[in-house]
Amino acid sequence: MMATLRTEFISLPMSADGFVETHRSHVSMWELDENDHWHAQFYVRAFQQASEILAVATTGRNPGAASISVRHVRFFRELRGGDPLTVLSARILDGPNSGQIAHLMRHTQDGRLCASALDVPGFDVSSLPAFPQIKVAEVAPQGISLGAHSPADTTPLLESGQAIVSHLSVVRPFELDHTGALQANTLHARLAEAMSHLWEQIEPLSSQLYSTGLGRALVEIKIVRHGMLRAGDALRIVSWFDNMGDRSFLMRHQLENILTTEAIASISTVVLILDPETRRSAPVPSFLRDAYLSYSGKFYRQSKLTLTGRSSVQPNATRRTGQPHR
Amino acid sequence: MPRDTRRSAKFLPARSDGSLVTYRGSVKRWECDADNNWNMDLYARAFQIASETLAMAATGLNPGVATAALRLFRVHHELSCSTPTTVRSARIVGGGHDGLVVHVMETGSNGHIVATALDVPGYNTEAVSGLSVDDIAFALPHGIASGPHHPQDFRSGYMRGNAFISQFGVVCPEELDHIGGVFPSAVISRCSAVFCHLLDRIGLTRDWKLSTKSYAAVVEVKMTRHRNSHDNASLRLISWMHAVTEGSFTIRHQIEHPHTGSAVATVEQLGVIAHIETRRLIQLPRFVYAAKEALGILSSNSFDSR
Repeated sequence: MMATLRTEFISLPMSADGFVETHRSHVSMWELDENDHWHAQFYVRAFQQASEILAVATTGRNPGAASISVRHVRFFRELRGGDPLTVLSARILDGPNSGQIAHLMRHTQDGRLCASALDVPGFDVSSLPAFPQIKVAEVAPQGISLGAHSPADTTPLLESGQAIVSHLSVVRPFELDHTGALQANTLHARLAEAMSHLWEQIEPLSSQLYSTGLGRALVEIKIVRHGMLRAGDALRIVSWFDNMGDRSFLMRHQLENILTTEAIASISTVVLILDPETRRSAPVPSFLRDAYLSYSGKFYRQSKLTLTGRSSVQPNATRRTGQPHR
Repeated sequence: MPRDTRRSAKFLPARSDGSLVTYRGSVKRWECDADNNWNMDLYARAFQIASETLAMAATGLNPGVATAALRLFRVHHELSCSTPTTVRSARIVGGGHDGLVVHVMETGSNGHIVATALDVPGYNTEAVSGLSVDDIAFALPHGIASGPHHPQDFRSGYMRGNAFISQFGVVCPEELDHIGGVFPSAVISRCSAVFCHLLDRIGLTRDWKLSTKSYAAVVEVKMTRHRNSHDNASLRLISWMHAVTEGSFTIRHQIEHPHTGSAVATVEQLGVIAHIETRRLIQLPRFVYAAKEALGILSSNSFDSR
């Protein structure tokens, strides 16, 4: 018989290892990317759903997007059309992530870990079951530092050419939640559009990497919210490369209100170079390394001076991972 | 000569010719059609975002769908899945299109022009950078005249000839802007669906497509907004085949309130036929001319606004 977490407000099923089930759904065919994998924005949507369910369970209220102030997502295995998925959530008791919420997304049938999120919650989580950090060690941040980013001053980055305006658009009413905040998956959908433009700064011919038999995959994201946008507001994303590792790139993005230039969110992303055949990370090919060094050589001094929350990329070279979530 | 303005240059990336970047996005898989190409309503969506961004840069306000009283856009090349896209915009200076706003959509990777749009702006464009008409000649109307459509009264007689009620539907919340106006992409999406039905009606069927390895596609669209109604709970389309020329045909749609017959917009689509493998245009089959003759009662009288 399945255990249940009973709160003052609702009851939620609990898994055998004591985590609370906060979301169940499946992968719809029209949500797949060009590689037949679930697009990353829908993983983010599932984690946001889980987060809001947890808030309702513990407080009786749904804070919408404000259920988190920082979210750190990692992708492990791709999900494909029709796959059922379950999100399990718990509070972390100790360690560097103490007080944060861990969400584990598992394939419902075989239980494999597909993605994870670590949330700095925006609601009181003290009544939730708590687990020691060791129990969620496998989902700890790897390529991006812990903690919140402060907004960056993007003006000098843009003026020097290090950063580009990678996305320009207008907020639509349906992109906002019931509190008027930009929905998590909408934010990520815009990020996905931005990344393809940033990538072209070092690989103008996007087919060049694929012609070498390699691919790239988004494996880690951190999102920090700073402000709000209203329907009808124009927004832009300013993006730049922050660092290159042996097998990966760290990118930074700032979502801004165009008219006020107010920072709405800071986002960090780690993109891994992949060998699709072995399904393992691969060294950054020389042509891409040279292109990055040429790019970064022009701007390194400026980036040291203006960026906050820098971190090094330390990807796990042997970790099996999914295909590109672009 | 390009004329930059303090307000617009402050917010948006500027190109060397003075035009401003007003949209950056990419083609998502679920937005592609059966041929793996971006659907027409998505071009319309991108141009609408570009026009609102430009309006905000110029005036500080976003008038929503009222940014353009008329938009004419043309697809020069197909866009396939994952392609990054950029739109740059400017005001046209000189010539017969002086004062209109031009939007140029390019691929992110190589700057190839894939689509263009001309707007009759619904806001003050004094602060928008200007480009000489000679610099944007490639974006000028090609197969559809640039003048506005005029509303037609179909309350009696729409069953005559080939004009017929082609669609009737409810407007969903996600099809409305922040002021309550219906997005052009929502209107054009409906017209695209009707276009497929009309192809079948004039003989350009799936069987024809398979047997001839040809396909019909819309390459140019003009949309005239007759009024910025916010009473958009439901809409109906009345559609008719408007003209057939040697290499193309045009279909018109009037979008109106079903109860009052009040016209919200008119959309005109220019269709061509191309070979699936070579992607080159081919002549229209004879039966398309015959369809025009048989079904052209309404389009031969007073409905031509050119």
